[in-house]
Amino acid sequence: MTELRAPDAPVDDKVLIALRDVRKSYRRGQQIVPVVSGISFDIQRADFLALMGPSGSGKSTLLNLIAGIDSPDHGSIEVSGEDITRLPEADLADWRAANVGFIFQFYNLMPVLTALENVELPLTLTRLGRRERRERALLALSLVGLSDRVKHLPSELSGGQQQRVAIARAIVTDPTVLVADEPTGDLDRQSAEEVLAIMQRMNTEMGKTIVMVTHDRRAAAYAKTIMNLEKGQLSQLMETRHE
Amino acid sequence: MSQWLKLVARNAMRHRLRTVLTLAGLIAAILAFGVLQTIVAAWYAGVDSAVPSRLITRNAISFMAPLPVSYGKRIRAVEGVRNLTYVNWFGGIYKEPRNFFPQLAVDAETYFDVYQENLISTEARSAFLRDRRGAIVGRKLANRYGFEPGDVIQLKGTIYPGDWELVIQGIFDGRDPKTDTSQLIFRWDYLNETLRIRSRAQAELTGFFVVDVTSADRVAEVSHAIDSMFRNSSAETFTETERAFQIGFMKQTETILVAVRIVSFVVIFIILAVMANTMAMTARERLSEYATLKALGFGPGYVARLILGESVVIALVGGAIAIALTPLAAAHLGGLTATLFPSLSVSWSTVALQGISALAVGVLAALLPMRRAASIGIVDGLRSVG
Repeated sequence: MTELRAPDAPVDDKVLIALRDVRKSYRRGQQIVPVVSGISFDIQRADFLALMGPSGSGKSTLLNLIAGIDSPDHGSIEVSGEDITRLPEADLADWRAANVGFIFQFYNLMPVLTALENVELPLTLTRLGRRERRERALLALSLVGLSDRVKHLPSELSGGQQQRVAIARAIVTDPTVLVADEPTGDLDRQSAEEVLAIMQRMNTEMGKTIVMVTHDRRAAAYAKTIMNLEKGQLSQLMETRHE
Repeated sequence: MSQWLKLVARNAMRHRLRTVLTLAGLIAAILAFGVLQTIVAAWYAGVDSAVPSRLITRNAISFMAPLPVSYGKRIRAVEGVRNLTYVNWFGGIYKEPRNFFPQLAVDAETYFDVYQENLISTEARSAFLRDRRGAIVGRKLANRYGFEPGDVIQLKGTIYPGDWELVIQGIFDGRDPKTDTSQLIFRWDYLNETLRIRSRAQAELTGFFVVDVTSADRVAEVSHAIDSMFRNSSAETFTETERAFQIGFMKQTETILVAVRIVSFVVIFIILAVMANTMAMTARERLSEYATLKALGFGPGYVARLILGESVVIALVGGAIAIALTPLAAAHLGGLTATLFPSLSVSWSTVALQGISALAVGVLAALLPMRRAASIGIVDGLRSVG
């Protein structure tokens, strides 16, 4: 489970993601605005963590830092024992390709590629052959229940279906962690529940570690742990009833 | 097909109207560039087709000043001269001033012996020699005005006043496509005899002599001998190779040629600006897609290559279509300006220039968008709205 830690606490081998005294601020004109203010916590393998908080609380920034698409001003972020804050940009890109699956609020699929091609896209960065890439992409699409939509373009799919394609794309490389930024923010209730159920299944059945940002309490209820942020600091950590 | 190529190809056709309009602009620009370059090349065709062993002897004062035709006998006697003819620019009007074509009064006996690239049948040449009012027209000119042997045409003199009636006795063809067949030639003796009556001061004169030297190696020696012979006379001569003579003639229109060349490159610059704007707009709309690709692990180079590929594909497709259309456009223009340009054929160097221009437009137009897309941070890119 996710646990709060002291800024100088040692990192346990069993921990998947360990943040220590992570700080991040942005410059707005002449003013420096702190967004994440010295956060330290551990995320265990196979956890499903929901990051909640009001707008501007720093939850998306924290998610971006964990995903390696933004870098902290201070502190360390270790994933499977590797401090990603020390990686140069090119190595960080390779690390993301191998370890992180992204699920975005607006799906961020390539509009000119079919569902199958979108899911296959991250695999082109691997050494897999064309046939194996295709087989894995088809398998990922079947896991999200879209075997019958493989040749459809994103514009020919509903929002819920597009997000399921995005989930298939996120899991196809078998990443260490899935990061989801408001994955249901653009979906109706039913589609949102379908997407959350799939994510929950990825967590419980496939053991995927998931970090999800949401402002929706019903979405957060699908997570195992909920973390609240306020003004860049952790304000509350609680476990849900799920196991 | 690789994923990169697939993305490039499909992105290129994503906004069909925009791509089609950009292509139309590219085709128009590269086509205009090719046609303008062809016109410049055609302007110099006379220089290219000049015979190395042929000399032109003109008045040392100016091309416009004539020489006594009696000089011919003395020039012919110079060692190294194989043959000689003389030519007078007539400059008449056929029906209307816009019907411009070169008209030359020539020595009928020798003209076709010196200009062997002008091919004429024995019958036509005999008829020309028999008829003092006879004229021979080039194939291109004959085709343009429908001239046929036996036709009687009238020219209105501008340099030589009055109406001049000529009877077409034959048509000459060019030995190769570059040979100028847009001329009308008629007999100098007809011109001269009429001038004796109408304008005595203009009689017994010719514009220039065309000297056929036995070998190209001897042109310097022969030209020096000719000019020495007439030094300190009332009409000193200036002898130069046919090529130098043509270049000198070209010099008079050089400013126009420079302007045409500049315009041809300005056209390319304009389409470069248009294309760069299109690519910048395209890249700006897709920043969140590029950020997504980067988040997935694709490097900035991949993103940059996507933009470059799209820009180059559009530019090369436009360039290829324009290159394919250029010979057709040149042929059409050649038909309209048959008497101005001896040959309006698209050269390989023009095709190469068109290809290079299209490629350069594609590459240069992509540079700034590539730089922006490659350098933008993932988080900023994801926030951008396409």
